[in-house]
Amino acid sequence: MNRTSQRTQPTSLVEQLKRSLLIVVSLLVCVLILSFPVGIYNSNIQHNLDEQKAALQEGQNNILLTMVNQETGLRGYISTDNTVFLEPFTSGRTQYLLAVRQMKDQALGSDLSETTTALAQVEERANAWYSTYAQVQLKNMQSGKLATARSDSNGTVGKALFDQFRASVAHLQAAIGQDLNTLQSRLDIISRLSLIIALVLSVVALLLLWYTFTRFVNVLHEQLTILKTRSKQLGSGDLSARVQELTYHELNSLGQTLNTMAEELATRSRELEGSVEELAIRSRELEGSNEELATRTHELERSVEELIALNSALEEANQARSQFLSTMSHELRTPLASIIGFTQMLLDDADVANMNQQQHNDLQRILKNGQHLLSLINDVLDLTKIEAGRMVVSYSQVDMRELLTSVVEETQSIAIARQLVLRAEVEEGMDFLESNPLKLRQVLLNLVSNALKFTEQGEVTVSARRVLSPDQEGECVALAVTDSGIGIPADIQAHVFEAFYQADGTYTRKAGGTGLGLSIVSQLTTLLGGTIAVKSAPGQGSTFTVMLPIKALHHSIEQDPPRLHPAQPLEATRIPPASGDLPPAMSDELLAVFAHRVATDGQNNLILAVDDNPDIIVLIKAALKDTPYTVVGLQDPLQAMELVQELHPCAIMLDVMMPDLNGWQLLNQLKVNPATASIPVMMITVLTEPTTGYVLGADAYLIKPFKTTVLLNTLRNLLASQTGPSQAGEREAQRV
Amino acid sequence: MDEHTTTEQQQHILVVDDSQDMRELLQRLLERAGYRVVVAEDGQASLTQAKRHHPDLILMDLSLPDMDGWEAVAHLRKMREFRTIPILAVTAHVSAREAERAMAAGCTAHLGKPFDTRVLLQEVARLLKDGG
Repeated sequence: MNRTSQRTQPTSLVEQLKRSLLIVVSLLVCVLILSFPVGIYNSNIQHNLDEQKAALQEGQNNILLTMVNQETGLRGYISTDNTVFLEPFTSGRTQYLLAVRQMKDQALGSDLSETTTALAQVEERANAWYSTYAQVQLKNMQSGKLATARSDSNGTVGKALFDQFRASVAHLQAAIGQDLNTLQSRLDIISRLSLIIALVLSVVALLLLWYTFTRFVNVLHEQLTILKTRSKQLGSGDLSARVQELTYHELNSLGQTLNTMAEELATRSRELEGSVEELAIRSRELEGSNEELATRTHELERSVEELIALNSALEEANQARSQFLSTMSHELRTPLASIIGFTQMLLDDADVANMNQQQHNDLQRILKNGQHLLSLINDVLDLTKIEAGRMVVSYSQVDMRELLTSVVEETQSIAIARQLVLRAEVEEGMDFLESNPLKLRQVLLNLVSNALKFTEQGEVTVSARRVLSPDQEGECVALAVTDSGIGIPADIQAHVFEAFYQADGTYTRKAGGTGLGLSIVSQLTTLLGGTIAVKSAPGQGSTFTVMLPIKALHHSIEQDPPRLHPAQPLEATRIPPASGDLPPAMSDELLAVFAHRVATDGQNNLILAVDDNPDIIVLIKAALKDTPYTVVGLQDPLQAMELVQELHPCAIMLDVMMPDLNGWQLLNQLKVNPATASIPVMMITVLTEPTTGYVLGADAYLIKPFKTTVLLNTLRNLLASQTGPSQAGEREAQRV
Repeated sequence: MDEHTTTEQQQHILVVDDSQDMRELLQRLLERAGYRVVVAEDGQASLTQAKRHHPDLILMDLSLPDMDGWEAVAHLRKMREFRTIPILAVTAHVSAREAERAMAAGCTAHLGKPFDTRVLLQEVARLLKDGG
């Protein structure tokens, strides 16, 4: 935390390294740059020195040569006295002077002290020879003193002087050598010196590089060690560990990052501690809640038990009610049969019996009331049956045109008797509806006969057309029955669908209704998945409209059985007719009867299970082990059709995904073949496409994996609904 | 009864019902329509009467004491001579399920009580014509 200001600002590691390298490189470049001109300079000097050496030697030789020429020429002249020999003497003199001057210049220009001195001596000796001997001799010759000139003394003097000159030339040569040596050695010193300087500079650069590198490595190592130590401390949980300011700012920023991380970790840790405490509190609270929950669960369990008990009580009550209704129906009908039967017979017999008009009318009154009582019994039983959820609806294609026409035909006699016009109107293009034809017919019959009853004059129209559904999401079929009757006041419209309710009590007797017709219509409409509404005003007639969804497929399969009415035990399906009407002691005999039926109709309790997976077949067999059904397993779907026609099982269980022939195809084959179409098919598959199954004609749909109880329930419902309304439906009409 | 007798063509009908009233009603209705009628008041008696008279049609109530109608029909159907005889169930068990039950037991047709006398006579005539 204490960002020390007394510490120097951390420098950049990279910057420092760069700087050191820059210095080293500059030094090396300097050495290189310096050594070039020094080398060139040295070699130039060397070259000059060599040239000078050659020039000096040439000069010295010239001096000696010209002096020798003079001496030779002088001697020839003296001995011959021929002036021809004087020519070499004079030219030698001229050349000598030139050579001496040239050499003097050179020696002076090059600062050759020894040579200059030696040259002066040479000049002095040469001059001594020339002035002391040569000019004296020349005078002697010119004055004709040949003997003097040719005397040995003069010859000796000349010779001695010339030898001295020769000695000085030798000395000059030595001096030149000495001077050149001095120059050479000076040059050598300069070369060596420059080499040494270059070497020293290089070494300095290398040392600097080494120093920087070593220092860098050391510092890096030291600071990395600090970082490592702190990281370790942090890692081992010491969240107070912090990295101090580091020399290099790269490492320093790493250190600060580490510090920030540690800071964060510490904060988080504190927060976590807080959370842990909170959690502990919550946990304690939860424990409390748990106890409460356990208590509640216990209470719930008790409630569930109570509910189960209640449910079974209700179930029993429901069974008892069904039995009661059934018995009551039977017991009421039996005496009524005699009343109606005898009355009819008497009336038919009227001519023979010879009774008067009053007696005839009275008999007719008895018959009418008997019939009214009968329709009351029928309606009440219908209503209770619907309300108890006993009525099962199966769906098929209903030809609307045919249905409406037949309803009109059936009620036409009432219309004619009441002098009313009765018409049916079916919109084009809506000939078929998926519904239950019998129930739908009952609804329309009730509505039409109701309309006819409550209309004094005018007409009654029954129509079918497509309309938008009330929720605007699809299409509906609207079946409307319109009359021009007395109409229903608004406050009564809400009650017309209640049992035993009529707009005007007086009409009941007059029109002969039971007061249950509209109630049954309403219940049946609901059962068919539709709604009913009435539109009316007093004196303006009424319109009853039944709205049915276009698709109301498989309503019965999903809805049946109702909640408080669990499926009957399996035995009930084994003896399809409900035994409710009979004393329990008779069920054994019933069994025998049924067994006979089984024998005569060729039906049996076989169930064919088609699944390519043998395990599933084993599973189904195990599930149905304790039931009266025998499961025949088949793994090859191709053999299924043949086997079905041979065994004629009471139900088929089909898998969908099978090789060669899938379940949908097999289902389709089964349902299009009239010989097998009526056998209920249960799909058992992992696919969740029940709609496909139902569209193809499946009667039940079970998704794998399934529970045994679910399989049993589904099978039970399937067979119960099969023995229920399927074939029986057609005969229901005969009842009234 | 005698005035209706055309002995050769008269067809025999066995009426089985435990109700005295109903037996009498059916008997009189049928006899007035020109049939010969024998009656039985329970299942057991129906078998005896059937064997004795070999009727052309049996009207069978189903809820009967001792041996009920379903059982009686089942027994009859087991005997070769009654295998094809038309049997009309005339019963106060009227629901569709009951009708099916009656058919399953071996009845040829089902008529609920109370019945319209004209419908009964029509049904009887039809069964005698088709099923006899």
